[in-house]
Amino acid sequence: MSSLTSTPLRRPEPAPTPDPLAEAKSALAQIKTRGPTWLRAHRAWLLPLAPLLLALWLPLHWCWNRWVAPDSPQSYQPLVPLAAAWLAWARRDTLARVPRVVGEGVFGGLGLVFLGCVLLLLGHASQLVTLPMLGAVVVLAGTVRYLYGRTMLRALAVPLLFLLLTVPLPDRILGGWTQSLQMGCTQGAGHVLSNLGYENAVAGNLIFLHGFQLDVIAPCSGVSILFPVIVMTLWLLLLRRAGPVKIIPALAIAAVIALLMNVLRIASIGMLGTAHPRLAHTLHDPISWLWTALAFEVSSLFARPPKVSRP
Amino acid sequence: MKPYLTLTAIFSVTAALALTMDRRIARAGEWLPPVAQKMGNWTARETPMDKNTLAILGRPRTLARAYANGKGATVNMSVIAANGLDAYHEPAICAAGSGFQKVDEQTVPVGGVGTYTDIRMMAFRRGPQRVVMCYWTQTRDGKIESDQSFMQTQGLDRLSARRPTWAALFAGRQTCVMHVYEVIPPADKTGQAACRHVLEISRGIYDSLRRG
Repeated sequence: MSSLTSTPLRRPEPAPTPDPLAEAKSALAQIKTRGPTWLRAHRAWLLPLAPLLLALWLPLHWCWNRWVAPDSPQSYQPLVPLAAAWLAWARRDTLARVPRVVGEGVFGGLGLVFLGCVLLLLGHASQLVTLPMLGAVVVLAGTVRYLYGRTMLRALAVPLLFLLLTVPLPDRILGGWTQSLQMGCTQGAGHVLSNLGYENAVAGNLIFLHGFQLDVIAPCSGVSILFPVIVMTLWLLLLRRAGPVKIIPALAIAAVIALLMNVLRIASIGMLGTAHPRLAHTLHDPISWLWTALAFEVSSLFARPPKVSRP
Repeated sequence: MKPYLTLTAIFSVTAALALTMDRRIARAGEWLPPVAQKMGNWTARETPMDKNTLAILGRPRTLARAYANGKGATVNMSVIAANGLDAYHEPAICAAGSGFQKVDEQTVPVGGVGTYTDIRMMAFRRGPQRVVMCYWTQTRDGKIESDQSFMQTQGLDRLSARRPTWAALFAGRQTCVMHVYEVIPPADKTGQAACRHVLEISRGIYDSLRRG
């Protein structure tokens, strides 16, 4: 018998589950060792970056005001560029293989850059913060296209599209959604309380209980939980390179979970307030944090990669 | 190096245009004329806006007071020197965020011979609470905007919501935004007294700004 047939066949080792913490540590180590060399090699970027930052100074100031406003539903947005950078880092092997082509295509690829600049200027003229931030992402995409070529832009499509989540929503849209969610969550909490035996009456965003009144103001509408949960779920799925077939249902489930947690948050404060009104006021914030953390934890279960069990 | 220089040139021109626009719009917020402390039986008490509200409005120059008539009625007012679009918060939208629904609206006259014009008066309700408010914008050259242009949602009409910033940008127009409101007491069943109070103060402010 040949030695080939005498060797027992082995099942291939399963691919290791990607560990985000280990990836982050490896990334930091590489930044420390290779960072200064990389920066020196790409210092020409500082030249166009300076006037671009000047043009973006006021829009970034507008964004900052929105992000740091108390109970801002878009306070997660400063983390989005870091998350987008992580997505690009996760694709570094693919990016390293893409050949660099400068000035490819019509106008050398500057069309996107001009479009981004027009959006930026329209944003300054109309004082709509959405436009200049959208312009900034388009300018970045156009710069990649101009300096590195079409193939590189395609390779960076996912991180660049994810970066669009940094763009603040127009106030009208955000206000409309907040109001709808406010009323919806108030009604939902009223139903939950009724089903649990707590008689109540709902008027707009007010829930009248025995000896306690719940005022479901804008920060309690659920928007502050919904947006970050959806963004986090999307990021985890993109990190796993999940396709639309997996992403769309996962995001829908995450949205339902976020809103359900918000309704339960309101109902739990109402239940506590009926028995101990002062305690309900004191514990309002910790209760909110608890339900928010629960929303993140449960949603992330749908976005985590499945654990591969060893035979 | 040439591609980087090309990008630098494009971004420099963009930055120069952007900064020029910002300066013209900020200039629009430099007009905040004095408003009378006493209007008939009404005496004012300063009620400065809190930091969070000022941040939401874009940190403009403001004047905020509560006028009392000595008979228990208080009318609150704010005059905001609009230095950007953030200063023009449409009351029907902002009030809705606090759970108030607009239940009525009409136009009321202000001014006198040669200066007669209409401004908007709105009534809001949230449960048992009722508020009546007058809202309008007034430019240094006396132009009044009081319609619902900021509520436009369809196509090109949305551009009309940006009229104040276009006016500031291209015509250098300086504008103040006025809110005058009273929480209707339960005893005022029809709200007529509160409407009269709000209109009286609104007329006083309108005249002050015309003189200023």
